[in-house]
Amino acid sequence: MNQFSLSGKHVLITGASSGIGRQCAVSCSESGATVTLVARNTDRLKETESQLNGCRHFSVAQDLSELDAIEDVVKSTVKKNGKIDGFIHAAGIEGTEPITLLNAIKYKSYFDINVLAGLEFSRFLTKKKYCNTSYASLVFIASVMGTLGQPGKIAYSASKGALVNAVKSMALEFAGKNIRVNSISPGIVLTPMTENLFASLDADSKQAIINMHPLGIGTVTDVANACIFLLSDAAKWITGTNLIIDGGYSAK
Amino acid sequence: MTKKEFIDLFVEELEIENTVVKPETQLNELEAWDSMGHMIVIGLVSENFDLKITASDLKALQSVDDLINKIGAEKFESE
Ligand SMILES: NC(=O)c1ccc[n+]([C@@H]2O[C@H](COP(=O)([O-])OP(=O)(O)OC[C@H]3O[C@@H](n4cnc5c(N)ncnc54)[C@H](OP(=O)(O)O)[C@@H]3O)[C@@H](O)[C@H]2O)c1
Repeated sequence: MNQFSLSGKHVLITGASSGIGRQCAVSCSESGATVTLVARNTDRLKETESQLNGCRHFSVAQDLSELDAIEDVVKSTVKKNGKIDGFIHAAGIEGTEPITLLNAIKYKSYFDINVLAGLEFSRFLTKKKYCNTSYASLVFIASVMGTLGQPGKIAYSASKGALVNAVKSMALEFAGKNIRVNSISPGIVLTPMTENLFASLDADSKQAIINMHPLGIGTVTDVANACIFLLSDAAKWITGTNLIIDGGYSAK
Repeated sequence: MTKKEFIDLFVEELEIENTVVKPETQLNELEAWDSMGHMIVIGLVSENFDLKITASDLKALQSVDDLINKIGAEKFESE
């Protein structure tokens, strides 16, 4: 069997209604996986579903900042499509806010969705009743901002850095169950999130950001392909790492 | 928010200490009117007026009054 295939695997993907999460869903389905999609917007989830290969896929519309609802999402997913082999946490929010405009409530809103929702999924997904523990794999979409900084990104960087490091401890904690845990740190990828960011910039600043990426800015498939690799059995000896995919941004 | 309250907030957030800021004050004369200052004002305007302005919008402005007009003078309460 092709080690890079996801055939027969069931993958749960948060943030599957847009951007990176949507492409992960499409690419995983093309690699043979059954996918369960989670995000808030029902119409956009339906649109993702319409792009999937195969037919057993299923969506759950849920606001993941309601952290108490996550166990039920996992439960209903397993009931519908069986135990989970893979997880991608691509739901996230981004913002450019200098510290003077930040406060505890705002930090918490970044952390709730970027970090805590992902960790709550881990809490349930790693239980034997919900997870196929031979070669299960969890992937968290962090960001290069989780290891590097930029003005205006204190809250976002803090949340992504938390994710990058939580992954290492999870990898150790779950190794005994054969569950691998890794993060992916993309540089700038063209998605609705970055279109928003670019819309607020003048042409020069936009070009400056593009120029920071030696290979240019990325596409959603660049990230989705790496997710497939980490979810596949080809990556069965990879855990606790942070895979940087940034067209060379952080090599400088 | 009145125009005066907005100017007070502008002064507070940009930490302007040695200049009395008035509607006719020239933005480029303020030391705090740099890229961090722009980022702060973009955030202030977004939070208080639910309006997205860009750094290039801000760079095109001359005076504090221009900023108020960019936001829309009608959006301010009368004093
Ligand atoms: N694009 C980039 O350049 C880039 C770079 C580095 C890292 N990343 C990270 O990659 C991830 C995906 O980013 P993207 O660019 O694809 O962003 P996007 O297009 O804005 O998609 C974000 C996704 O998160 C979901 N989401 C947000 N808040 C949610 C909530 N409260 N409950 C449930 N779902 C929620 C959204 O779904 P609904 O709105 O339907 O709920 C959407 O599906 C994020 O974690 C982001 O930080 C992106």
